[in-house]
Amino acid sequence: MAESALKFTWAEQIVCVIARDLRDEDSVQVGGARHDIPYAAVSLARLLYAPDMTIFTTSLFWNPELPPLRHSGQLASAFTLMADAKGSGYDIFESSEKGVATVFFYSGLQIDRYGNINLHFVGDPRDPVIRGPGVVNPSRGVSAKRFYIYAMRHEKRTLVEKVDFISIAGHIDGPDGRRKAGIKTSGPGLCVTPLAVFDFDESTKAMRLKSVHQGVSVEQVMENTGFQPIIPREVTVTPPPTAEELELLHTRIDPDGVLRR
Amino acid sequence: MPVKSRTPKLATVDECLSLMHDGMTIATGGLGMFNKPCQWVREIAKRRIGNLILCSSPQASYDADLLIGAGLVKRTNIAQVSFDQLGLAPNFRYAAQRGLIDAVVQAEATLAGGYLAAAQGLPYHAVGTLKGNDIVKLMSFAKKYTSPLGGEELLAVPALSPDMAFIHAQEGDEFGNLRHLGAPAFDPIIARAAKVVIASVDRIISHQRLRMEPEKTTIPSRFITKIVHLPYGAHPTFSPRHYVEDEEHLRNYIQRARQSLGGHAPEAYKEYLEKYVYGPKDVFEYLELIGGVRRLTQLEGVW
Repeated sequence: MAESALKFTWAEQIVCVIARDLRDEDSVQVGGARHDIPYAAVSLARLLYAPDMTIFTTSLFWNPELPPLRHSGQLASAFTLMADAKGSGYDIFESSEKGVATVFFYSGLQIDRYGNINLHFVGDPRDPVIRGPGVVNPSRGVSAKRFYIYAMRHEKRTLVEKVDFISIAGHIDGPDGRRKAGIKTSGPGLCVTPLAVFDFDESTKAMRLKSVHQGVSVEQVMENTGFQPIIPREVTVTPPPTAEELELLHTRIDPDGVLRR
Repeated sequence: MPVKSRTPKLATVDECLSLMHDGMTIATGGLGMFNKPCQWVREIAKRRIGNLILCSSPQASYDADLLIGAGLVKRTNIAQVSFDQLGLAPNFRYAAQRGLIDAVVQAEATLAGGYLAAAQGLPYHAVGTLKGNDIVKLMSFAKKYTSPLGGEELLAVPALSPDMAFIHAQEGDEFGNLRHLGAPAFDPIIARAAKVVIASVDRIISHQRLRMEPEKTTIPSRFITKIVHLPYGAHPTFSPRHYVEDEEHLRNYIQRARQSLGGHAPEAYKEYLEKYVYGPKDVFEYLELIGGVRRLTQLEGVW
Protein backbone atom coordinates (compact mmCIF):
# COMPACT_ATOMS: atom_id res chain seq x y z
CA MET A 1 0.00 0.00 0.00
CA ALA A 2 1.29 3.41 -0.90
CA GLU A 3 1.97 5.67 2.01
CA SER A 4 -0.80 8.16 2.65
CA ALA A 5 0.27 11.74 2.08
CA LEU A 6 -2.49 13.01 4.36
CA LYS A 7 -1.52 14.46 7.68
CA PHE A 8 -3.13 12.94 10.74
CA THR A 9 -2.43 12.30 14.42
CA TRP A 10 -2.33 9.04 16.36
CA ALA A 11 -5.56 10.02 18.08
CA GLU A 12 -7.29 10.41 14.72
CA GLN A 13 -5.88 7.06 13.68
CA ILE A 14 -7.35 5.34 16.75
CA VAL A 15 -10.70 7.05 16.14
CA CYS A 16 -10.84 5.78 12.55
CA VAL A 17 -9.89 2.21 13.49
CA ILE A 18 -12.71 2.02 16.03
CA ALA A 19 -15.25 3.86 13.85
CA ARG A 20 -14.76 1.44 10.95
CA ASP A 21 -15.38 -1.50 13.27
CA LEU A 22 -18.76 -0.23 14.57
CA ARG A 23 -21.93 -1.56 12.94
CA ASP A 24 -25.57 -0.63 12.50
CA GLU A 25 -26.78 -3.31 14.90
CA ASP A 26 -24.53 -2.03 17.69
CA SER A 27 -25.81 -0.12 20.67
CA VAL A 28 -23.20 2.03 22.34
CA GLN A 29 -22.88 4.28 25.34
CA VAL A 30 -20.79 7.44 25.15
CA GLY A 31 -19.88 9.91 27.85
CA GLY A 32 -18.06 9.74 31.12
CA ALA A 33 -14.54 10.72 31.94
CA ARG A 34 -11.78 10.99 29.34
CA HIS A 35 -13.82 9.85 26.42
CA ASP A 36 -12.75 12.03 23.50
CA ILE A 37 -11.62 9.07 21.45
CA PRO A 38 -14.69 6.82 21.71
CA TYR A 39 -16.90 9.89 21.39
CA ALA A 40 -15.25 10.90 18.12
CA ALA A 41 -15.28 7.28 16.88
CA VAL A 42 -19.00 6.95 17.54
CA SER A 43 -19.65 10.33 15.90
CA LEU A 44 -17.69 9.32 12.82
CA ALA A 45 -19.31 5.89 12.63
CA ARG A 46 -22.76 7.46 12.75
CA LEU A 47 -21.90 9.69 9.79
CA LEU A 48 -20.07 7.13 7.67
CA TYR A 49 -20.39 3.52 8.71
CA ALA A 50 -23.27 2.80 11.06
CA PRO A 51 -26.11 5.33 10.74
CA ASP A 52 -28.58 2.98 12.44
CA MET A 53 -26.41 2.36 15.49
CA THR A 54 -28.18 3.22 18.76
CA ILE A 55 -26.26 5.69 20.88
CA PHE A 56 -26.96 6.69 24.45
CA THR A 57 -25.16 8.81 27.00
CA THR A 58 -24.19 8.13 30.60
CA SER A 59 -27.15 10.22 31.69
CA LEU A 60 -29.38 8.16 29.42
CA PHE A 61 -30.25 10.39 26.54
CA TRP A 62 -31.11 8.16 23.60
CA ASN A 63 -29.68 9.01 20.18
CA PRO A 64 -28.53 12.46 21.25
CA GLU A 65 -26.99 15.15 19.13
CA LEU A 66 -23.25 14.70 19.28
CA PRO A 67 -21.86 18.22 19.30
CA PRO A 68 -18.23 18.77 18.27
CA LEU A 69 -15.40 17.95 20.67
CA ARG A 70 -14.18 20.77 22.85
CA HIS A 71 -10.72 21.33 24.28
CA SER A 72 -12.05 21.13 27.79
CA GLY A 73 -13.88 17.94 26.93
CA GLN A 74 -17.53 17.14 26.57
CA LEU A 75 -18.88 18.33 29.85
CA ALA A 76 -22.29 17.11 30.91
CA SER A 77 -24.00 20.12 29.34
CA ALA A 78 -23.03 19.02 25.84
CA PHE A 79 -25.53 16.23 25.80
CA THR A 80 -28.93 17.57 26.68
CA LEU A 81 -29.70 19.73 23.70
CA MET A 82 -31.59 17.24 21.59
CA ALA A 83 -32.26 13.52 21.74
CA ASP A 84 -34.93 10.94 20.93
CA ALA A 85 -35.75 10.32 24.57
CA LYS A 86 -34.38 10.60 28.08
CA GLY A 87 -34.10 7.87 30.67
CA SER A 88 -33.07 7.64 34.31
CA GLY A 89 -30.97 5.62 36.71
CA TYR A 90 -33.39 2.71 36.31
CA ASP A 91 -32.39 2.47 32.66
CA ILE A 92 -28.71 2.73 33.55
CA PHE A 93 -28.93 -0.25 35.89
CA GLU A 94 -31.02 -2.24 33.46
CA SER A 95 -28.85 -1.37 30.50
CA SER A 96 -25.67 -2.46 32.18
CA GLU A 97 -27.03 -5.63 33.80
CA LYS A 98 -28.79 -6.87 30.70
CA GLY A 99 -26.33 -5.67 28.09
CA VAL A 100 -28.54 -3.13 26.35
CA ALA A 101 -25.23 -1.55 25.45
CA THR A 102 -23.78 -4.18 23.16
CA VAL A 103 -20.49 -2.34 22.71
CA PHE A 104 -18.35 -0.45 25.18
CA PHE A 105 -14.96 1.27 25.40
CA TYR A 106 -12.39 1.12 28.16
CA SER A 107 -9.02 2.72 28.68
CA GLY A 108 -6.71 1.90 31.56
CA LEU A 109 -3.84 2.89 33.82
CA GLN A 110 -2.56 -0.58 33.02
CA ILE A 111 -3.59 -2.99 30.26
CA ASP A 112 -2.14 -6.48 30.09
CA ARG A 113 -1.53 -9.16 27.49
CA TYR A 114 -4.97 -10.73 28.08
CA GLY A 115 -6.74 -7.40 27.81
CA ASN A 116 -7.39 -7.06 31.52
CA ILE A 117 -7.72 -3.45 32.57
CA ASN A 118 -6.67 -1.69 35.75
CA LEU A 119 -8.22 1.64 36.69
CA HIS A 120 -7.98 1.29 40.45
CA PHE A 121 -4.59 0.59 42.02
CA VAL A 122 -1.04 0.61 40.72
CA GLY A 123 1.12 -1.33 43.16
CA ASP A 124 -0.28 -3.23 46.10
CA PRO A 125 -4.03 -2.48 46.36
CA ARG A 126 -3.68 -2.24 50.15
CA ASP A 127 -0.93 0.34 49.86
CA PRO A 128 -1.04 1.63 46.29
CA VAL A 129 1.54 3.78 44.53
CA ILE A 130 -1.37 5.25 42.61
CA ARG A 131 -5.02 5.19 43.62
CA GLY A 132 -6.68 5.57 40.24
CA PRO A 133 -10.04 7.11 39.54
CA GLY A 134 -11.78 3.73 39.59
CA VAL A 135 -14.35 2.82 37.02
CA VAL A 136 -17.99 3.77 37.13
CA ASN A 137 -19.27 0.80 35.24
CA PRO A 138 -17.20 -2.37 35.03
CA SER A 139 -20.42 -4.33 34.37
CA ARG A 140 -20.40 -3.52 30.67
CA GLY A 141 -17.18 -5.49 30.32
CA VAL A 142 -19.28 -8.51 31.30
CA SER A 143 -22.66 -7.72 29.75
CA ALA A 144 -21.73 -5.96 26.48
CA LYS A 145 -21.16 -8.34 23.59
CA ARG A 146 -17.70 -6.91 22.99
CA PHE A 147 -15.54 -4.02 24.07
CA TYR A 148 -12.71 -1.98 22.70
CA ILE A 149 -9.59 -1.06 24.59
CA TYR A 150 -7.91 2.19 23.70
CA ALA A 151 -4.63 3.30 25.22
CA MET A 152 -3.67 6.96 25.42
CA ARG A 153 -0.01 6.01 25.77
CA HIS A 154 1.97 3.15 24.36
CA GLU A 155 4.53 2.60 27.08
CA LYS A 156 5.89 -0.30 29.08
CA ARG A 157 4.25 0.94 32.25
CA THR A 158 0.85 1.06 30.59
CA LEU A 159 1.00 -2.12 28.50
CA VAL A 160 2.12 -4.55 31.17
CA GLU A 161 2.62 -8.29 31.49
CA LYS A 162 0.00 -8.55 34.23
CA VAL A 163 -2.14 -5.79 35.73
CA ASP A 164 -1.76 -5.17 39.47
CA PHE A 165 -5.52 -5.19 39.86
CA ILE A 166 -8.29 -6.28 37.50
CA SER A 167 -10.93 -3.57 37.30
CA ILE A 168 -12.42 -4.96 34.09
CA ALA A 169 -11.86 -8.53 33.06
CA GLY A 170 -10.39 -9.09 29.64
CA HIS A 171 -9.61 -12.72 28.93
CA ILE A 172 -8.31 -12.96 32.52
CA ASP A 173 -5.66 -15.71 32.27
CA GLY A 174 -6.25 -17.27 28.88
CA PRO A 175 -8.74 -18.96 26.60
CA ASP A 176 -10.95 -20.26 29.43
CA GLY A 177 -10.65 -17.22 31.67
CA ARG A 178 -14.00 -15.64 30.96
CA ARG A 179 -15.92 -18.91 30.87
CA LYS A 180 -14.45 -19.99 34.23
CA ALA A 181 -15.53 -16.68 35.72
CA GLY A 182 -19.08 -17.25 34.50
CA ILE A 183 -18.91 -14.62 31.78
CA LYS A 184 -20.71 -15.40 28.54
CA THR A 185 -19.69 -12.49 26.31
CA SER A 186 -16.61 -12.33 24.11
CA GLY A 187 -14.79 -9.46 25.83
CA PRO A 188 -12.06 -7.33 24.28
CA GLY A 189 -11.88 -7.47 20.50
CA LEU A 190 -9.31 -4.84 19.64
CA CYS A 191 -6.77 -2.87 21.61
CA VAL A 192 -5.80 0.30 19.80
CA THR A 193 -2.80 2.36 20.91
CA PRO A 194 -0.92 5.38 19.57
CA LEU A 195 1.44 2.99 17.76
CA ALA A 196 -0.53 -0.08 16.74
CA VAL A 197 -3.64 -2.22 16.67
CA PHE A 198 -3.77 -5.51 18.56
CA ASP A 199 -6.35 -8.24 18.42
CA PHE A 200 -6.48 -11.43 20.46
CA ASP A 201 -5.20 -14.77 19.24
CA GLU A 202 -8.12 -17.21 18.91
CA SER A 203 -6.45 -20.12 20.72
CA THR A 204 -4.48 -18.37 23.49
CA LYS A 205 -6.51 -15.17 23.82
CA ALA A 206 -3.24 -13.30 24.19
CA MET A 207 -2.66 -9.99 22.45
CA ARG A 208 -1.44 -10.23 18.89
CA LEU A 209 -0.05 -7.41 16.84
CA LYS A 210 -2.53 -6.83 14.03
CA SER A 211 -1.08 -3.76 12.38
CA VAL A 212 1.30 -0.91 13.03
CA HIS A 213 0.29 2.64 12.26
CA GLN A 214 1.89 4.35 9.28
CA GLY A 215 5.47 5.31 10.06
CA VAL A 216 5.78 2.96 13.05
CA SER A 217 8.04 -0.11 13.05
CA VAL A 218 7.39 -3.46 14.70
CA GLU A 219 10.61 -2.91 16.72
CA GLN A 220 9.27 0.37 18.04
CA VAL A 221 6.12 -1.40 19.21
CA MET A 222 8.14 -4.16 20.89
CA GLU A 223 10.43 -1.69 22.62
CA ASN A 224 7.50 0.08 24.18
CA THR A 225 5.39 -2.89 25.16
CA GLY A 226 5.82 -4.41 28.61
CA PHE A 227 5.03 -7.92 27.40
CA GLN A 228 5.80 -10.06 24.40
CA PRO A 229 2.83 -9.84 22.06
CA ILE A 230 2.26 -12.48 19.41
CA ILE A 231 3.87 -11.25 16.21
CA PRO A 232 2.40 -12.82 13.08
CA ARG A 233 4.66 -13.46 10.11
CA GLU A 234 3.22 -10.51 8.31
CA VAL A 235 2.30 -7.34 10.11
CA THR A 236 0.31 -4.92 7.98
CA VAL A 237 0.13 -1.17 8.18
CA THR A 238 -3.05 0.16 9.77
CA PRO A 239 -5.11 1.73 6.99
CA PRO A 240 -4.57 5.43 7.64
CA PRO A 241 -7.48 7.85 7.94
CA THR A 242 -9.04 8.52 4.53
CA ALA A 243 -9.58 11.97 3.09
CA GLU A 244 -13.30 11.56 3.74
CA GLU A 245 -12.80 10.59 7.38
CA LEU A 246 -10.39 13.45 7.97
CA GLU A 247 -12.71 15.95 6.36
CA LEU A 248 -15.56 14.94 8.67
CA LEU A 249 -13.25 14.99 11.66
CA HIS A 250 -11.86 18.42 10.79
CA THR A 251 -15.14 20.06 9.84
CA ARG A 252 -17.87 18.44 11.90
CA ILE A 253 -16.58 16.28 14.73
CA ASP A 254 -13.43 18.03 15.85
CA PRO A 255 -13.14 21.49 14.29
CA ASP A 256 -11.18 22.75 17.32
CA GLY A 257 -8.49 20.12 16.82
CA VAL A 258 -8.77 18.36 20.16
CA LEU A 259 -7.49 15.20 18.50
CA ARG A 260 -4.74 17.13 16.71
CA ARG A 261 -3.05 18.43 19.86
CA MET B 1 -67.75 23.65 56.93
CA PRO B 2 -64.09 24.58 57.29
CA VAL B 3 -61.80 22.26 55.35
CA LYS B 4 -58.12 21.83 55.96
CA SER B 5 -55.43 22.64 53.45
CA ARG B 6 -52.30 20.79 52.54
CA THR B 7 -49.14 21.72 54.46
CA PRO B 8 -46.30 23.06 52.35
CA LYS B 9 -42.88 21.45 52.67
CA LEU B 10 -41.01 24.65 51.90
CA ALA B 11 -38.29 25.09 54.48
CA THR B 12 -35.15 27.00 55.30
CA VAL B 13 -31.63 25.63 55.13
CA ASP B 14 -31.39 25.73 58.93
CA GLU B 15 -34.62 23.80 59.36
CA CYS B 16 -33.35 21.08 57.05
CA LEU B 17 -29.87 20.83 58.48
CA SER B 18 -31.18 20.68 62.05
CA LEU B 19 -32.22 17.15 61.02
CA MET B 20 -28.63 16.27 60.28
CA HIS B 21 -25.89 15.30 62.72
CA ASP B 22 -22.38 13.93 62.92
CA GLY B 23 -21.82 10.38 61.80
CA MET B 24 -24.79 10.16 59.47
CA THR B 25 -24.84 8.32 56.17
CA ILE B 26 -25.79 10.83 53.53
CA ALA B 27 -26.29 10.61 49.78
CA THR B 28 -25.88 13.23 47.11
CA GLY B 29 -27.90 13.06 43.90
CA GLY B 30 -27.09 14.33 40.43
CA LEU B 31 -24.46 12.51 38.43
CA GLY B 32 -20.84 13.40 37.77
CA MET B 33 -20.92 17.04 36.80
CA PHE B 34 -24.65 17.78 36.73
CA ASN B 35 -27.35 18.43 39.30
CA LYS B 36 -24.93 18.08 42.16
CA PRO B 37 -26.41 19.52 45.38
CA CYS B 38 -23.48 21.88 45.72
CA GLN B 39 -25.11 24.53 47.87
CA TRP B 40 -26.18 21.82 50.31
CA VAL B 41 -22.62 20.59 50.45
CA ARG B 42 -21.36 24.09 51.21
CA GLU B 43 -24.02 24.55 53.90
CA ILE B 44 -23.08 21.23 55.50
CA ALA B 45 -19.40 22.12 55.40
CA LYS B 46 -20.10 25.53 56.90
CA ARG B 47 -21.80 23.85 59.87
CA ARG B 48 -18.89 21.38 60.19
CA ILE B 49 -21.19 18.36 60.37
CA GLY B 50 -18.60 15.62 60.19
CA ASN B 51 -17.64 11.98 60.50
CA LEU B 52 -19.94 11.34 57.57
CA ILE B 53 -20.40 8.26 55.47
CA LEU B 54 -20.83 9.79 52.07
CA CYS B 55 -22.73 7.98 49.37
CA SER B 56 -23.64 9.39 46.01
CA SER B 57 -25.08 8.40 42.72
CA PRO B 58 -22.27 6.36 41.10
CA GLN B 59 -20.34 9.45 39.97
CA ALA B 60 -19.46 12.31 42.27
CA SER B 61 -17.34 15.39 41.66
CA TYR B 62 -17.30 18.71 43.55
CA ASP B 63 -19.80 17.41 46.12
CA ALA B 64 -17.59 14.62 47.45
CA ASP B 65 -14.29 16.40 46.90
CA LEU B 66 -15.35 19.44 48.90
CA LEU B 67 -16.73 17.50 51.86
CA ILE B 68 -13.54 15.44 51.92
CA GLY B 69 -11.37 18.55 51.58
CA ALA B 70 -13.21 20.10 54.51
CA GLY B 71 -12.33 17.04 56.58
CA LEU B 72 -15.89 15.90 57.18
CA VAL B 73 -15.90 12.45 55.61
CA LYS B 74 -14.76 9.18 57.14
CA ARG B 75 -15.98 6.82 54.42
CA THR B 76 -17.18 7.04 50.83
CA ASN B 77 -19.48 4.73 48.92
CA ILE B 78 -19.04 6.03 45.38
CA ALA B 79 -17.97 4.34 42.15
CA GLN B 80 -15.94 7.27 40.85
CA VAL B 81 -15.03 10.74 42.03
CA SER B 82 -13.65 12.92 39.26
CA PHE B 83 -14.08 16.20 37.44
CA ASP B 84 -14.39 14.40 34.12
CA GLN B 85 -12.29 16.16 31.51
CA LEU B 86 -11.09 18.75 33.99
CA GLY B 87 -9.14 16.13 35.90
CA LEU B 88 -9.14 13.82 38.86
CA ALA B 89 -10.64 14.90 42.18
CA PRO B 90 -7.61 16.08 44.19
CA ASN B 91 -8.93 15.76 47.74
CA PHE B 92 -10.60 12.43 47.13
CA ARG B 93 -7.51 11.02 45.51
CA TYR B 94 -5.17 12.28 48.22
CA ALA B 95 -7.33 11.06 51.08
CA ALA B 96 -8.11 7.69 49.50
CA GLN B 97 -4.47 7.01 48.61
CA ARG B 98 -3.26 7.79 52.12
CA GLY B 99 -6.07 6.00 53.88
CA LEU B 100 -7.36 9.22 55.43
CA ILE B 101 -10.80 8.09 54.34
CA ASP B 102 -12.15 4.60 53.83
CA ALA B 103 -12.91 4.78 50.10
CA VAL B 104 -15.06 1.70 49.67
CA VAL B 105 -14.67 0.32 46.16
CA GLN B 106 -18.06 0.44 44.49
CA ALA B 107 -19.38 0.10 40.96
CA GLU B 108 -22.42 1.58 39.32
CA ALA B 109 -24.23 -1.75 39.62
CA THR B 110 -23.53 -2.25 43.34
CA LEU B 111 -24.60 1.27 44.25
CA ALA B 112 -27.64 1.30 41.98
CA GLY B 113 -28.54 -2.18 43.21
CA GLY B 114 -28.23 -1.04 46.83
CA TYR B 115 -30.49 1.95 46.29
CA LEU B 116 -32.97 -0.13 44.28
CA ALA B 117 -33.20 -2.72 47.05
CA ALA B 118 -33.82 0.00 49.64
CA ALA B 119 -36.38 1.67 47.37
CA GLN B 120 -38.20 -1.63 46.94
CA GLY B 121 -38.00 -2.58 50.62
CA LEU B 122 -35.90 -5.64 49.87
CA PRO B 123 -32.86 -6.73 51.90
CA TYR B 124 -30.63 -7.00 48.83
CA HIS B 125 -30.57 -6.75 45.08
CA ALA B 126 -29.05 -9.28 42.71
CA VAL B 127 -26.18 -8.11 40.53
CA GLY B 128 -25.07 -10.43 37.75
CA THR B 129 -22.32 -8.49 36.04
CA LEU B 130 -19.43 -8.23 38.47
CA LYS B 131 -17.46 -11.20 37.36
CA GLY B 132 -13.86 -11.98 36.65
CA ASN B 133 -12.49 -8.84 38.27
CA ASP B 134 -10.73 -8.03 41.54
CA ILE B 135 -13.29 -5.43 42.53
CA VAL B 136 -15.58 -8.05 44.04
CA LYS B 137 -12.79 -9.25 46.32
CA LEU B 138 -12.73 -5.83 47.96
CA MET B 139 -16.50 -5.68 48.38
CA SER B 140 -16.80 -7.15 51.84
CA PHE B 141 -20.29 -5.67 52.08
CA ALA B 142 -21.61 -7.90 49.28
CA LYS B 143 -22.01 -11.66 49.16
CA LYS B 144 -21.78 -14.15 46.33
CA TYR B 145 -24.60 -16.66 46.09
CA THR B 146 -26.10 -19.13 43.68
CA SER B 147 -29.52 -18.35 42.31
CA PRO B 148 -32.08 -20.60 44.04
CA LEU B 149 -33.91 -20.85 40.72
CA GLY B 150 -30.99 -22.27 38.77
CA GLY B 151 -27.27 -22.34 38.98
CA GLU B 152 -26.27 -18.80 38.14
CA GLU B 153 -23.66 -17.15 40.34
CA LEU B 154 -24.84 -13.77 41.54
CA LEU B 155 -23.78 -11.06 43.92
CA ALA B 156 -26.16 -9.96 46.68
CA VAL B 157 -25.79 -6.24 47.26
CA PRO B 158 -27.30 -5.07 50.54
CA ALA B 159 -29.98 -2.40 50.58
CA LEU B 160 -28.48 1.06 50.89
CA SER B 161 -30.74 3.46 52.74
CA PRO B 162 -29.00 6.76 53.54
CA ASP B 163 -30.11 8.65 56.64
CA MET B 164 -30.45 11.75 54.51
CA ALA B 165 -30.31 12.46 50.79
CA PHE B 166 -29.69 15.81 49.12
CA ILE B 167 -31.07 16.35 45.65
CA HIS B 168 -31.04 19.33 43.33
CA ALA B 169 -33.65 19.78 40.59
CA GLN B 170 -34.46 22.68 38.29
CA GLU B 171 -38.03 23.22 39.43
CA GLY B 172 -40.35 22.20 42.20
CA ASP B 173 -43.48 23.36 43.99
CA GLU B 174 -44.06 24.24 47.62
CA PHE B 175 -45.13 20.68 48.40
CA GLY B 176 -41.90 19.16 47.16
CA ASN B 177 -42.91 17.85 43.76
CA LEU B 178 -39.78 18.02 41.61
CA ARG B 179 -39.16 18.56 37.92
CA HIS B 180 -35.78 17.71 36.44
CA LEU B 181 -35.48 19.45 33.10
CA GLY B 182 -32.67 17.14 32.03
CA ALA B 183 -31.94 13.61 33.08
CA PRO B 184 -33.12 12.79 36.61
CA ALA B 185 -30.32 10.21 36.75
CA PHE B 186 -30.47 8.29 40.04
CA ASP B 187 -32.41 10.95 41.96
CA PRO B 188 -35.79 9.15 41.75
CA ILE B 189 -34.22 5.96 43.12
CA ILE B 190 -32.17 7.68 45.82
CA ALA B 191 -35.26 9.63 46.91
CA ARG B 192 -37.13 6.35 47.37
CA ALA B 193 -34.19 4.74 49.18
CA ALA B 194 -33.28 7.43 51.74
CA LYS B 195 -34.98 7.97 55.07
CA VAL B 196 -35.06 11.75 54.80
CA VAL B 197 -34.87 13.55 51.46
CA ILE B 198 -33.97 17.22 51.21
CA ALA B 199 -34.43 18.91 47.85
CA SER B 200 -33.27 22.21 46.48
CA VAL B 201 -34.53 23.81 43.28
CA ASP B 202 -33.37 26.66 41.12
CA ARG B 203 -36.93 27.86 40.83
CA ILE B 204 -40.14 27.36 42.76
CA ILE B 205 -43.10 27.10 40.41
CA SER B 206 -46.74 27.33 41.36
CA HIS B 207 -48.49 24.20 42.45
CA GLN B 208 -51.31 24.95 40.01
CA ARG B 209 -48.95 25.14 37.09
CA LEU B 210 -47.16 21.94 38.09
CA ARG B 211 -50.49 20.09 38.35
CA MET B 212 -51.43 21.05 34.82
CA GLU B 213 -48.49 19.02 33.52
CA PRO B 214 -48.12 16.03 35.87
CA GLU B 215 -46.17 14.15 33.20
CA LYS B 216 -43.30 16.55 33.80
CA THR B 217 -42.96 15.72 37.50
CA THR B 218 -39.91 13.51 37.99
CA ILE B 219 -40.23 12.89 41.75
CA PRO B 220 -43.59 13.21 43.50
CA SER B 221 -43.75 14.97 46.87
CA ARG B 222 -44.41 11.66 48.64
CA PHE B 223 -40.66 11.03 48.54
CA ILE B 224 -39.48 14.50 49.52
CA THR B 225 -39.20 15.57 53.15
CA LYS B 226 -38.37 19.26 52.68
CA ILE B 227 -37.83 21.56 49.74
CA VAL B 228 -35.74 24.73 49.75
CA HIS B 229 -35.42 27.39 47.08
CA LEU B 230 -31.69 27.64 46.39
CA PRO B 231 -31.22 29.45 43.09
CA TYR B 232 -28.16 28.21 41.20
CA GLY B 233 -27.87 25.59 43.91
CA ALA B 234 -25.95 23.24 41.62
CA HIS B 235 -23.22 25.81 40.84
CA PRO B 236 -20.44 25.13 39.78
CA THR B 237 -21.95 21.99 38.23
CA PHE B 238 -24.47 21.92 35.42
CA SER B 239 -28.20 22.46 35.88
CA PRO B 240 -29.88 21.28 32.66
CA ARG B 241 -31.66 24.01 30.70
CA HIS B 242 -30.75 26.56 33.37
CA TYR B 243 -26.99 27.05 33.49
CA VAL B 244 -23.85 25.24 32.38
CA GLU B 245 -20.83 24.16 34.39
CA ASP B 246 -18.67 27.02 35.63
CA GLU B 247 -15.43 25.73 34.17
CA GLU B 248 -13.42 28.68 35.38
CA HIS B 249 -14.60 28.23 38.95
CA LEU B 250 -14.02 24.48 38.81
CA ARG B 251 -10.50 24.92 37.46
CA ASN B 252 -9.74 27.38 40.22
CA TYR B 253 -11.12 24.90 42.77
CA ILE B 254 -9.04 22.02 41.41
CA GLN B 255 -5.91 24.12 41.18
CA ARG B 256 -6.22 25.38 44.74
CA ALA B 257 -6.76 21.87 46.07
CA ARG B 258 -3.71 20.65 44.14
CA GLN B 259 -1.56 23.53 45.34
CA SER B 260 -2.46 22.82 48.95
CA LEU B 261 -1.97 19.09 48.75
CA GLY B 262 1.28 19.49 46.84
CA GLY B 263 2.58 21.93 49.42
CA HIS B 264 3.23 24.75 46.93
CA ALA B 265 0.60 26.93 48.50
CA PRO B 266 -0.61 25.20 51.65
CA GLU B 267 -3.25 27.85 52.32
CA ALA B 268 -4.76 27.89 48.82
CA TYR B 269 -7.53 25.43 49.51
CA LYS B 270 -8.31 26.83 52.93
CA GLU B 271 -8.71 30.21 51.28
CA TYR B 272 -11.25 28.69 48.91
CA LEU B 273 -13.21 27.28 51.84
CA GLU B 274 -13.02 30.54 53.76
CA LYS B 275 -14.14 32.60 50.82
CA TYR B 276 -16.84 30.47 49.21
CA VAL B 277 -17.98 28.06 51.91
CA TYR B 278 -17.49 29.41 55.44
CA GLY B 279 -17.81 33.10 54.62
CA PRO B 280 -21.11 33.60 52.79
CA LYS B 281 -24.13 33.88 55.03
CA ASP B 282 -26.42 32.36 52.41
CA VAL B 283 -26.68 31.31 48.77
CA PHE B 284 -27.21 34.90 47.66
CA GLU B 285 -23.92 36.05 49.18
CA TYR B 286 -22.22 33.08 47.56
CA LEU B 287 -23.63 34.04 44.18
CA GLU B 288 -22.24 37.55 44.58
CA LEU B 289 -18.80 36.11 45.30
CA ILE B 290 -18.71 33.92 42.22
CA GLY B 291 -19.35 36.93 40.02
CA GLY B 292 -22.95 37.89 40.62
CA VAL B 293 -25.44 38.57 37.89
CA ARG B 294 -22.72 39.15 35.31
CA ARG B 295 -21.24 35.68 35.73
CA LEU B 296 -24.59 33.94 36.14
CA THR B 297 -25.87 35.54 32.95
CA GLN B 298 -22.87 34.13 31.12
CA LEU B 299 -23.54 30.67 32.48
CA GLU B 300 -27.16 30.88 31.45
CA GLY B 301 -26.45 32.53 28.13
CA VAL B 302 -24.81 29.45 26.70
CA TRP B 303 -28.25 27.99 25.98
